[in-house]
Amino acid sequence: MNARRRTLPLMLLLTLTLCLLGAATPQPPEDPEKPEKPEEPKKAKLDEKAPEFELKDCKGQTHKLSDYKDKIIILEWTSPQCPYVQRLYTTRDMQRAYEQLKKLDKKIVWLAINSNQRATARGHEHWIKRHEIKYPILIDAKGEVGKLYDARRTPHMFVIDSKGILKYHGAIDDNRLGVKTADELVNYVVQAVKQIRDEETVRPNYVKPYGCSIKYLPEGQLPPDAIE
Amino acid sequence: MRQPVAPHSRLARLAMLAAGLILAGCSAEPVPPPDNDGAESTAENGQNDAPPASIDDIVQVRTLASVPSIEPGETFDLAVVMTLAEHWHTYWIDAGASGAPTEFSVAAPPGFTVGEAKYPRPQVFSDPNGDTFGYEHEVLFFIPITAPATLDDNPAEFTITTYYFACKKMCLMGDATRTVTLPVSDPTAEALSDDDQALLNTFRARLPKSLSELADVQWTLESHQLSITGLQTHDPVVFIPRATPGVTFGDPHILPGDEMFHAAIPYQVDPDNALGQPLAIRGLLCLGESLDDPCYDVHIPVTSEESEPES
Repeated sequence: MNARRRTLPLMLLLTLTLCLLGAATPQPPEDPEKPEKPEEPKKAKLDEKAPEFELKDCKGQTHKLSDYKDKIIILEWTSPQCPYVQRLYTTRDMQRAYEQLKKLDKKIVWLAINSNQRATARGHEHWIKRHEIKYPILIDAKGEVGKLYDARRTPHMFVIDSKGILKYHGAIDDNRLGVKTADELVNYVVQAVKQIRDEETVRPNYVKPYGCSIKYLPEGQLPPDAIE
Repeated sequence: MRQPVAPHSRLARLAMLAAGLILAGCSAEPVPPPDNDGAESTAENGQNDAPPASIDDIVQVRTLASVPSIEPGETFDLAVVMTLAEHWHTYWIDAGASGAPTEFSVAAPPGFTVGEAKYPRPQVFSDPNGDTFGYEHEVLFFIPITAPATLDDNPAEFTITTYYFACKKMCLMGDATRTVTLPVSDPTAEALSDDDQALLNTFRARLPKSLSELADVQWTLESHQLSITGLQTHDPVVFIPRATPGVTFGDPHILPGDEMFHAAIPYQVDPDNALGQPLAIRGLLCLGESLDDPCYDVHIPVTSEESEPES
């Protein structure tokens, strides 16, 4: 009992001392210079604001999504090496869609993006000339923008309305086998743009894209020759 | 079944195929200039691969019939045999994360009914960008045909066009048109060779069975989830999703048990994206690792109401 009587005040004293010490210990001030951990960019989602990005095209010109504020924007994930993309350009179905949209609305912006790990600016020169492509091809060899938009295949199309909202993504058309004529096929991108302009709900807003896989750069690797 | 291909489309496809052979590969290598098209072809993983001399070196397509001659009212199969060069593969009806399905167009004489093509159990090819489903080496697809109740004596001619996408480190798109001519009620008609009959039998055994044939099967649709339980006769159990417009799948969870397995397959339904087709959950539930192990066809119609979460 005596021992207990002696221990209790000692323990109280010790606790009080520790509390006082704790309170007196200066907390490290927040370093205003210390960079905060960058927030993970929000991925593209239907009916939400399309994520911002910045990429250079084959001529070295920088394009930011926000450069095209108040305009309908088409994003086309592409690869000149993909047989499906080749067919769409050889039959001119892709160029025809672009021309149709330009007739509908001169201000429409079409950006092709190559997110394959071996994409280079120089690699598209011949492709652009050969197929008379009138819109820029942006190089995303790091694959960051492709992953941001969860682009899965080439071609994989995205339609963003003039308020910057993603309204459609998926297949370019219903002509996977390539057996339909231009008059027979349904081009989902053209359809979506018409619906946006008519202030209708975009439907369908997703159709599974067909085509080649995108060969994204493995994590931690640098692209060999991203842009000259 | 699709209509035969228009001649101008064929020309475009041939041009495309030629371009594909020259430039093929899903990688993002520089496109060779016109004067040396085909001189370089680089594989998607950066290794150099010599371009194939011809797509015929990669994919060979031939056709068979399950019967030597046709009887009125009879249902039989036309079969498409694809033989692929070493390490090349082609795709199931749903290619998965990339690739493209193998598809068929059949022109049959008037009165004959062409059924939906049947695909044997595919392999699962694992890939960091997502699994794909398909076939290596050799595969045989079945196309059921039903003859009309009355037939004249003229032989019946069927034209089958096979559309395929074959990949190794690069991909080639191709199509092949073959004709099968069968006599009517001819007891002297030549039967299949033993080898071809064996091939037909092997791949017929690999066709998915109806889900109702799975021992002790029970399934429910509840709160955006298809749950299937059944007797685990083989290990592992995998679900291979088949995309249908308006239905998207989450990652399936398969819980193995001592005797019974439980598969939970989350899904979402969006009727506005159904493109006018009936909404259905489709896929294969496959047991075991071997292509000869059993696989069951999951085909469950759903409505948009069933997709609503329970209150």
